[in-house]
Amino acid sequence: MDIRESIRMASVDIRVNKMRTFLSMLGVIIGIASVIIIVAIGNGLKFKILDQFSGLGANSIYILRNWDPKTQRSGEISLDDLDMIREVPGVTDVAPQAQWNGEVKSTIKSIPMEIRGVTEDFFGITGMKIDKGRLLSDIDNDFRQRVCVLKREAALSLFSVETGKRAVLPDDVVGKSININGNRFTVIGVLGKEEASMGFFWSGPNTVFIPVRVLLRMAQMDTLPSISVHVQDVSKSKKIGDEIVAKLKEKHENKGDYRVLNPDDIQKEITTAMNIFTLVIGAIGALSLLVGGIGIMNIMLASVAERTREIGIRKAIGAKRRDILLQFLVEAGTISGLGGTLGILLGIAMAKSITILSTNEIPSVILPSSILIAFLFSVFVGMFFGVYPSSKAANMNPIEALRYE
Amino acid sequence: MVKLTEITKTYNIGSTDVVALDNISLSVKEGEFVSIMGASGSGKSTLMNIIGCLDSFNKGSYHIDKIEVTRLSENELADIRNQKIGFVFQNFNLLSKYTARQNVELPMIYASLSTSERRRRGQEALQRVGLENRAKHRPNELSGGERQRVAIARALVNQPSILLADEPTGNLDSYRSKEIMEIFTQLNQEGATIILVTHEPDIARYSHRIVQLLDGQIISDRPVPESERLGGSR
Repeated sequence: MDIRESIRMASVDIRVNKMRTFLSMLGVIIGIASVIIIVAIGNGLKFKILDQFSGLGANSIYILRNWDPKTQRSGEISLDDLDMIREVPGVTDVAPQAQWNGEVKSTIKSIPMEIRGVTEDFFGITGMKIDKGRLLSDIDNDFRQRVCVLKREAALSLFSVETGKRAVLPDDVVGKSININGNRFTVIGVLGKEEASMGFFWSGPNTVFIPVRVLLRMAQMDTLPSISVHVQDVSKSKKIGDEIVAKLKEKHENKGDYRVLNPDDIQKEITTAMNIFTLVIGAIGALSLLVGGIGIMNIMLASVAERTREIGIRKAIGAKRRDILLQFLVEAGTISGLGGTLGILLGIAMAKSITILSTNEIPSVILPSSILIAFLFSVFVGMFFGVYPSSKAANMNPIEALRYE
Repeated sequence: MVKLTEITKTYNIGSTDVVALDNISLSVKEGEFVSIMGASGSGKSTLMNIIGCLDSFNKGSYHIDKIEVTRLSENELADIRNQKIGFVFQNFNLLSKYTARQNVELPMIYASLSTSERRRRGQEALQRVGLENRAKHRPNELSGGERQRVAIARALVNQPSILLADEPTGNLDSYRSKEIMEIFTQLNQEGATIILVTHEPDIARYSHRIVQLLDGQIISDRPVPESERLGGSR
């Protein structure tokens, strides 16, 4: 007897006992659905985070201040260091970054915002495009001009005039004055719509950009928290990072330590962390499959007992032990495989619903490989838990089985 | 064809051994139609199960088509049951979820025949019992007589060496019983070897030889005179 006959037999029995089959599948359906949901959301979050980093391009490294236990201080990065770092071979660009939070006021509104201190290079590196007015220039920095560039959303929330449903920016935004933490600034530009997230440079929608020198003075910072360094050749980024740190230490007389962040390393770390997260949570979900498997074993045992006479008849007309074993194994595998298929569909539907209901805040990514693994695993669970009932059926004595009422 | 030599079978019930068959020797030749008779407990069912390769025995030897059955493995016994023996039971023993055709095709599935071959031989077997137009009915849509005819078709389909019928008319009224026995007579005339277990003398009169059992021993083995026979042209 070949496997196709076993599948045909199984489908007859499944059709005869539709309700019972469905109930015995339920555990597998729920188990597979929950694993699919968890893995989909885990993958979704992983890709979302990785996506935020990929926007920046891989050929950047970051130099951060780091606590030195010996000197009890963190290394300093001053604006004057930027020129020195630019001289390091292999470096194409250096962009400082300083961040501050504050209250930004227009004549009509007052809104808490992110304040970023940047240089001219910053806009080139991030690919941010101007929509109205102009970008910040190095001259603005050198002369510590109190000028600012607003993100589109920030400009809207500060100046928008409600006309019907849509908020519209007034035409004369450029040139208006705003108040940032008590200091008057002139708006010189508004950015266009953002195309991709900017990884390390990521900022929220309500962000205002001002010259970094102005920010350092206003916030009374004497050091930059971090800088981004663009390199020509990614494979040399480790070496260049070490060289920059050495130069910084030398210049600041070893008063403090520095740390180099490599986007490749960060991505690897995130991927590993998310994979472990997905695996652990997925394994917990898989536990419910165990319950589903036990459910199938239970039903199969009842089914074998109920069909004792059938087994006797089959043996009398020539079924071998392995024919009976195969028949019940295939039946168990078919039930759980069917349950797995339903669970996959349910899981995909639920993962998509969660994504839609959360307005894409909780993304979900369903990989073909997870569908395949889920299906094969469900079939395996059924067959594994079907082994005991099936061997019980296969080992029946035909005479006793035939006598069974 | 079938040759039992000094077969002894004992059951162990609790601490006592019960002798079901006591040194039985019996030969059935090709084309014979034999009835095995006896009261309940005489050992006729045990004898039937041994001939049908469903049960083992303690002593003696059993040959079917010159094959020594005693030493065969469980799988080989399953093959013998599949290829050499056709069973007909008192309570039909059809699978209720399958149609008549599917029931008839079942032994051929275990014989690994192709779908087209199964279909052809299944149809032929149903024709021989006059049920070709009931092929798609399930057992619960058939009368008792029809069910037993399906069972006979199933027993025939692998062209076995012997048909073993265990009280095949036990659950049927006299009219249907006659119908079934006419089929057996017909099959025997076409060359089938039939061993029939019954306790009804009228049913046994369809056969050509009657073997009487009592307490596990054969007490008589006599031919049925042609003048007393039922079935066939008479």
